[in-house]
Amino acid sequence: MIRIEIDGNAVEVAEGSTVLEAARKLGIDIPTLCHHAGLTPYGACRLCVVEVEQRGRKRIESSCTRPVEPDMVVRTDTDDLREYRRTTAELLVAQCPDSKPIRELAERLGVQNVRFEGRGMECILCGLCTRACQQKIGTPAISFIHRGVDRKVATPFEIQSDVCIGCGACARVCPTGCIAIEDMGNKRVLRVFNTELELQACSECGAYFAPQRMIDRLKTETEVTEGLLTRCPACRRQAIGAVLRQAMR
Amino acid sequence: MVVSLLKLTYNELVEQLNDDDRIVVWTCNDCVRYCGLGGRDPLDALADRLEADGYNVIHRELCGISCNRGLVRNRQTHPATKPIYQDATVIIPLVCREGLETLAFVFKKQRIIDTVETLGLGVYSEETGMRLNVPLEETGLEPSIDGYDLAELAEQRGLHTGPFVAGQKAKAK
Amino acid sequence: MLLRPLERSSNEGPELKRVYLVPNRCLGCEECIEACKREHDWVACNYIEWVNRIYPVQMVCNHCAEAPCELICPAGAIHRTETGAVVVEDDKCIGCTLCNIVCPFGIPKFSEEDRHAIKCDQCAERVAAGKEPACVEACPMKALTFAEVEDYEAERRERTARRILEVGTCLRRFVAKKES
Ligand code: SF4
Ligand code: SF4
Ligand code: SF4
Ligand code: SF4
Ligand code: SF4
Ligand code: FES
Repeated sequence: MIRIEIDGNAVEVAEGSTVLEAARKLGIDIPTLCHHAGLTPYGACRLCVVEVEQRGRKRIESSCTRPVEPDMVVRTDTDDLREYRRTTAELLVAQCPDSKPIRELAERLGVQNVRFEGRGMECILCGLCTRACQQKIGTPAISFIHRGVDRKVATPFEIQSDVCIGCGACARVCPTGCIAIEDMGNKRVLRVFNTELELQACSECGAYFAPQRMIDRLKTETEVTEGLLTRCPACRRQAIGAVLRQAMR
Repeated sequence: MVVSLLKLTYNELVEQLNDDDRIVVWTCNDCVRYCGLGGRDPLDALADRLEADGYNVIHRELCGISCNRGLVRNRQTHPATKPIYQDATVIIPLVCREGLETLAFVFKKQRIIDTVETLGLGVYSEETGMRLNVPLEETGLEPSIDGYDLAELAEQRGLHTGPFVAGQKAKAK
Repeated sequence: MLLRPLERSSNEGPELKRVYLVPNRCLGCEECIEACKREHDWVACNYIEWVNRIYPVQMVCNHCAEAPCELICPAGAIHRTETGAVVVEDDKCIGCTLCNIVCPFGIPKFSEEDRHAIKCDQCAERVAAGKEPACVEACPMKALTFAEVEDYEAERRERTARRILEVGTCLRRFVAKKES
């Protein structure tokens, strides 16, 4: 265990924890955007900055990537930090002026009006979707392509992905909400990634419930009973309910 | 099971509401569900319609057995719902007479809209739906094994079979 | 490649309490669902299934041994607590829906608003505080019990034995009447 001080409070956390985790343990709210507790830290948005004092030297660092070290003294809410965060938030609003979560975050951080010329896109290149997809789902379906101002998240060559399983994790971790996933009839459509996936119909009720490719991967890579994967969750509940009812007569 | 019919139509119901009312739509989930006037689907259908018509529905309450005073009072005192009932000005109940009186007993500060008429006891079966078998004395009807059809009763007495607003699947399970 | 194969076991520790349905008592009144909602920010994690459209059966997470949802979760967001409940950690969940697809009972659901999976946590906070889960406490028909499987089974055996005894006495009376 390592003992550090944050905003005057002492806290003990396991070795290898980040400053952000330590602060959250104390209930201190540090704004974050590119951080997700289920994914590896990335340090792209710089909203989570804190002031770290060690051996008399003060530095501003992003708390989501900074591991704790003994005798650290951390401040999370100085004037400098507030100013830093506000500037960062202004840039973010300029980047995606239409995103409601970003606007709300910026307002919370004290941004009054946007000073920078916007690029008018919604993705803030935080890399959460690519991390979720590559590290957790284990598919190279999406990644960053191009450089500089053209940099964006897309499938290779920006054409229909042949590995995306349509799980929707990318959309659900995206903080700006710029990845829309729609189910239309027997298709799941990820418009931003030019990708359409066939959905599987439930063998009982006929409702489309999961992408074919996701089911195929579950069949080949796990030991989930195949019979299970032909039924939608609602029909599974019905079937088990009927069994329970039988057993209770 | 208790057999109840609606006294009002949707239009007559909204006449009793004001624009600044903070409304709780309340349904029981037992007898009235089988009568087709209460339960989750009629609750949602009515609340959706009220919202669409610009009324301020602050809460949708489903109470399993609304003639049970303990369960009703539980809503009044539970930390999650207490503020809602302190704030509400009117309750639209989809319950039977007994439930209505229980609500009126527990919620003294709110207007409880008089929505239902209870006719007696009946039996539900899947083929015939709910039928009235043991009418209350004041209805002047004789007890009957075969039972009385609810739609016919409604027509004779100027009442309405539920629900207020036909939802997608607004029939008893 | 990264879909975690079913290999880890988390079924360690003592036999633990679960929510069980007592036969033939459930009314389908959904008080249990409403109680769960009040406890969990207005999203319920239990269901009432209507078998043959007239028999209500309350369905709740089984907190499976070697829980498929726990094993599949690629983000490691599902784990077993000390009280034996299989729970989702909201902030770790990446919303991949896999737990929903592999659960044999169709229990986990999704909150599109909060963008993470939701499933029964067996009222972790209440149980830690020594209370019964909300659904068990709320059921007006006492159709739910929170017990260890052995206690539940013992009670069930006793109830069945009593019923057989009752039927026996009825029969005798019936036969006796006929003779007279
Ligand atoms: S939906 Fe496709 S692109 Fe998005 S995380 Fe899942 S596999 Fe990756
Ligand atoms: S509260 Fe009890 S009786 Fe009502 S639906 Fe739930 S389990 Fe059944
Ligand atoms: S969610 Fe499903 S798989 Fe997971 S523990 Fe509950 S019943 Fe088992
Ligand atoms: S949806 Fe969330 S909890 Fe479920 S498997 Fe995916 S990451 Fe795990
Ligand atoms: S045990 Fe708690 S979380 Fe689980 S279904 Fe019952 S009320 Fe909901
Ligand atoms: S949350 Fe730490 S840099 Fe984005």
